[in-house]
Amino acid sequence: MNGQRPHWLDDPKAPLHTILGVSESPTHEELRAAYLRRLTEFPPDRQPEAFQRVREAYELMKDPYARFEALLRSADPTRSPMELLSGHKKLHFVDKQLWLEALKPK
Amino acid sequence: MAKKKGKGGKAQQSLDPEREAGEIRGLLERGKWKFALERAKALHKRVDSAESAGLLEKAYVGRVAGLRESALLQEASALIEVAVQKFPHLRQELEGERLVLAVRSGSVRELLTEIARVPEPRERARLEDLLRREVTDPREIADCDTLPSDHPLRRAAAAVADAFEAVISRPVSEEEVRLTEVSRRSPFAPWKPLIHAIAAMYAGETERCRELLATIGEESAPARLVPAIETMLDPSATLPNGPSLRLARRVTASETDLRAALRRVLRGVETPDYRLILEGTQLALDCCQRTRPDLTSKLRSRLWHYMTAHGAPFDALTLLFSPPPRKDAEFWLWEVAAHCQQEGDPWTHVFYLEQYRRHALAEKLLKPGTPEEAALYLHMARQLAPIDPYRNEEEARECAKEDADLLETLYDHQTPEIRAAGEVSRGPGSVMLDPDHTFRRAAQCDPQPFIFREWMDWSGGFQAKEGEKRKEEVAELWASLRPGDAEPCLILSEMAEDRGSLTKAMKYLDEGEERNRLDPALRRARLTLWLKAALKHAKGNKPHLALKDLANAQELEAATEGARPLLIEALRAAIAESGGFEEMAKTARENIARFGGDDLFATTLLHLASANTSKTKHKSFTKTPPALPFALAMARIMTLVRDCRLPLQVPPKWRSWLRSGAKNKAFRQAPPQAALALAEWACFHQDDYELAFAAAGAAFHGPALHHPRAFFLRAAALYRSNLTSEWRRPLQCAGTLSKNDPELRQEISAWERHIPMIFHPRSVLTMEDLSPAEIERQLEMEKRRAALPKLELPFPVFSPTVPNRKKKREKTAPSPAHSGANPEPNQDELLDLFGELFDEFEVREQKDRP
Repeated sequence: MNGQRPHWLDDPKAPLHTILGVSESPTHEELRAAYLRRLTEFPPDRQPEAFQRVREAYELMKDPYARFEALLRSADPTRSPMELLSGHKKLHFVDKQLWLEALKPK
Repeated sequence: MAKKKGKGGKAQQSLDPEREAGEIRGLLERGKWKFALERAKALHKRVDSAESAGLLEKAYVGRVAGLRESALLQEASALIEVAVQKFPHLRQELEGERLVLAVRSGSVRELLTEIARVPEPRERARLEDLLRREVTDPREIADCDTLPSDHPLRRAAAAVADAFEAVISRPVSEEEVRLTEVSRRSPFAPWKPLIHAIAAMYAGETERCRELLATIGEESAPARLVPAIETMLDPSATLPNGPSLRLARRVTASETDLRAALRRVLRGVETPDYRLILEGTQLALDCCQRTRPDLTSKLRSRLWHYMTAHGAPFDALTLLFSPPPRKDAEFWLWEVAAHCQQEGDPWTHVFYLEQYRRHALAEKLLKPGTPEEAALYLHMARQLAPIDPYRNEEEARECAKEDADLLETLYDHQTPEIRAAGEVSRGPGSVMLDPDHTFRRAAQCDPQPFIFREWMDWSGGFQAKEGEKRKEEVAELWASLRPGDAEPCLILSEMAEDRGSLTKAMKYLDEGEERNRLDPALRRARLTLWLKAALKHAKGNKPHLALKDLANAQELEAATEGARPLLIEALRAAIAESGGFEEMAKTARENIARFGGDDLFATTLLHLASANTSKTKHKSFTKTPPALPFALAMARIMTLVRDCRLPLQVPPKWRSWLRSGAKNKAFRQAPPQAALALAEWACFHQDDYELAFAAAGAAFHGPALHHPRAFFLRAAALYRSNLTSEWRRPLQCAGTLSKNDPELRQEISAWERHIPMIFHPRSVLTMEDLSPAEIERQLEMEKRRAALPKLELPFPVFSPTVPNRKKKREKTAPSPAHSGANPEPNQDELLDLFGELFDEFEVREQKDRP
């Protein structure tokens, strides 16, 4: 991260997998590797806040039971749908077809 | 155009052939392929020389390339056919073009067929270069069966395709896009920096992204994305209209309009203003479709649930969202959440969860047979476990039928895939509403001891024989799925012991020891078993058998641990005395006096042993012992009793002495373990919450490691003794402080399962931690409280005006909760009372009706 402030640090509802930078259902090895990588990115002495978030996310993600409970808790129908926009970073994921069209020779 | 044609074509016919050839060369050099071809054709027709043929060939080759560049792929292919027909030797020269045209038209088969022929290195390099430059979607190579599936090229293509699709659709880990299958020489090598650059871009690592973009080979296909990505990094960069700009705009799409439209919807819901809702929703969905099509489905679902949560009627929503939102896994997850918030019935909750499970499996968000699926099943089982199992059977059947009808409506206008994933079986198929089934599934997906324990706990809710049978089945399944666990053998042994089958109980312990010889619980269980047998024989007036049991117990290694020999000696003294073995009794008493260290402790231990071994008359205190020393001695004894898991009964009058002793400030000197053992015994075995509350308080003055359990016992005592919610805070403290105590967490979790959901919807173990300051505040408060707070209700629950209540209480035997000096009712009793009052109200109403 080169010392940058991660975007999920300002988003208290950021999904756990985003914090760790893994897929939604990672394997144990992937999770461990991602956690160790994040630890080097956010050492506790330099970025304690980010480190704490990473540690909590890892603790929840590695336990499938806690992860499922967290998933259920994350869904709150009274929360504003606006968060679909606000929680995201400025760059959006878009359809593959758009990328393929841009890849085609001019 | 006609003029141009004239100028380039017919008008030149009269020129000198050499001059004409020179002009054609000039056109070819300037890339004017079309004119060059026309004039070369005319010249060749006129002079038919080797030179004119050469020019025509060059013009054909150039024109084909020109058509390809203009993306006129079909025209270029047709021209190749014409050229080859006229000049067959051009076939080889135009072969490369033909392959390029095929690849650009979406067919990689021909190119791969060429590669599969394993051509010579130079030819192979040419083909691979073509792959590097032309292949825009590696998935086509990965899916084409012309090459064997283990061909390095196909493997590399598959890896690149997977990584590319992942990186453009979600945040990825480095591991996912490592691409070890792609070598540096592979034609897919330029895709590696591209994929890493995209990942870096989405992760906000701009500099790294730029560095990676700079390493992408210029001639390769991935290089075509570089301008688009640079524009994404710096939106002020200029890019001509076209697919790259379109892509960059979509990735960096502004959400201003969508935000404004959503604000209208939210304002409409708050007001409520149906016009605003209607217009805003339509506008928001249109905006979303334009700027964030990836969000449209999600937004529809979220708006639907948001409006439902704010009371929008179902019919209105059906009109507003036509067609209705996609009923995918996410929809059902939110449906579960909405149902939870409305405090709906647990059966519908589980039913919706089952729908979520089906869709999550179909959408590959969940893998079957994994701990993740076990977590879901366990959650389902936990919803239904607190319900009386017999009631559950009836209600579940009704609920499953109603929900299946509802689902059919909900799946209207859904795609066939969604319908297929959500299809439910009716009637007996709805087994997910049976906790036995869901616990079993959870255990099969992930055989964890805590799942079996909860399952067994639930099975105990059935009537005696059925409950026993079910528990045995669970223990047997546990034993078979976890061959290294001794715990199921221990449970089976305890069950056999309860049935009075000592031999069978011992057999199970043998089996357990075969599984795990080092399990201290097993060693202790054997000791407990012999001691229990001794108590039973003693009460049955068979002192010789009881003494034999004690001898067997004493032979065990576990009998020598801690203060256990004292307990054995006390039992021996009591049994020997009642059986007339005076000498033996005397020796045992001397041993206790010598090693017990405290007269009152030795006397109390002997009296307690006597009270539990003699069926009729037993020794007791001739005068009331001093309350504080007596409570301290009993606390020590309870540690011992808890350690040996012996169900020793305390004479009723001792409890009042204990209560006054434990309330004494000096009781704080008691060792915290002893105080907690006394509190636990009082709370969970005697229903004496006043004593439990007072005894647990002593542990707050000891080291911090005992505080979590003390908080838990205080919470349990408060919960059981009154209706206020004072028990929540200590329980939360216990939940926060017990992070490193799995045994206590297990106890808390088991205890919480018995609290009705209306009082305690969520476990403290899953709540957010309390801050150290909050815990400190609670600790100080608990330290100050020596006695259980009195019940204060705003209404007269035990008013004498309540009819029949007094009579009923007189008729029935007093409950253990009221047998001591604890006049307040416990929560269950109050609930029962409310139930009675309501029943009476209903009966009166029916009578009053004409």
